[in-house]
Amino acid sequence: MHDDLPGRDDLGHPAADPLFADPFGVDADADPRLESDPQWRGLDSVIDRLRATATVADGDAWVRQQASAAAMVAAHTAEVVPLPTSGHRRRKVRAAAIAAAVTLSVTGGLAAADELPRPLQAAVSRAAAVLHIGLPDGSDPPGPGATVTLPEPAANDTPPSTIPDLSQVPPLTGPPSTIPPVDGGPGGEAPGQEKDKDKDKVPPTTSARPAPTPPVVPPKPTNPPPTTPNPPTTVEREARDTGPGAKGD
Amino acid sequence: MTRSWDETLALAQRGDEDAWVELIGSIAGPMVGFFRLRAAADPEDLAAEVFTRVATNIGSFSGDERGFRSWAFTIARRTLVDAYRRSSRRPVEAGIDPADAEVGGDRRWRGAGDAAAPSPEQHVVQAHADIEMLELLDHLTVDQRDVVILRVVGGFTIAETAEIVQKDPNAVKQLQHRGLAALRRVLEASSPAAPPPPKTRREQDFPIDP
Repeated sequence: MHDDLPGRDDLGHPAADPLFADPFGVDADADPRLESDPQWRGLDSVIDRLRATATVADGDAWVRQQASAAAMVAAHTAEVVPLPTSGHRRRKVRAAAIAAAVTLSVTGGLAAADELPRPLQAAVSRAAAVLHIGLPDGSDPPGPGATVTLPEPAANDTPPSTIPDLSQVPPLTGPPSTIPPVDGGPGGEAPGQEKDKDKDKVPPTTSARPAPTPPVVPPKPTNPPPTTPNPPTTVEREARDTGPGAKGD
Repeated sequence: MTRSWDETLALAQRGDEDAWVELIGSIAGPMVGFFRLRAAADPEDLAAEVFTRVATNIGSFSGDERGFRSWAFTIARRTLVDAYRRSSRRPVEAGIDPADAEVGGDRRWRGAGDAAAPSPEQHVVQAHADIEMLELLDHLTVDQRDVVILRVVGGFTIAETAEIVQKDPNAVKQLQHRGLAALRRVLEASSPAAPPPPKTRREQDFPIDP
């Protein structure tokens, strides 16, 4: 009833496009003979002429010659040349070799610098000793340039102060400074100058920084007394010569 | 005494010549035909190169006889691509190969005294048929040509052809369908009493006025 409609089949459905339809159906590969395939119908002459090209002149002799060469190649490949490893296996071997080299380099460097943990350092040292390579085993006394690790202080210990105890500092000696203060600050007194009573007062500061510690000047050593007396001066010599008890009176 | 396929393959992997005669004899003709229809310069030399590659890698092959044929034609297709690349890089030498000159320019003339060798008349007819086929296949694309040749000359199924050309089986079906349609159009157009070839969908939808 729908035969008269263009582009419709008997049931009225749109006709399948022969270009995109499955030309062979589900069982297209069931029979590989092309002559039984409807798609190849009418092309028998083409099929025959195409198949006629699949010939080898002097076929048997040529095939035997090729077979002899192939047999030699196959025998040589099977007996002499080992089968190549797959790319995946080669990559794994290469990665393992690189990892081992990096590990050995890093471990050896740290062991030579005595920077490894003690048990590992001892183990590496023993392993290197087999190869006659001397490495510190972690129990050697530290050298002059070695760093010594001090034990951690206890939690209730007061950390040592970095400010020196001023009571242990000897008093300052020497002449007072003669440089006048520039901005009216405390300075030294000139000889005979009245001492400023407020000189030692420190002006209040807004900075939270602690006051600078006065420099510690070690006491100057006093000159030792001369071991030999000074020679008498001319006046002393005259008094001695002309005084009572002098010879010649 | 007939051997099973597994025995033949095992013997070939060890280098047995008789096993290789059996293997190569089953694929030599279709392979030479494949190269000939792909307009290779020297089909038999290319086939020999394929056999060498097959022999080199036969140790890694495992499968049945049809799998072996598919594998060998996969190597053949790659060998053909390599040959095209080589010929594109190397200029074609002019002149006549002395080895070919004595046999009329074709190696199929060798052994002309043998009974199985083609006569000169047969050779002319064969050469003419080859040229006709090449001209006919020139109307197809490269992929369509590969599919048609492998289906006809190689005797492969759609699935095997798809494996060789490394495409989806549905794509191979479409390539074959379009290739056969093109062949049919050319054949109908070349026949003297044939009606004009049917118009394509594009020509029907968009008629071109003269």
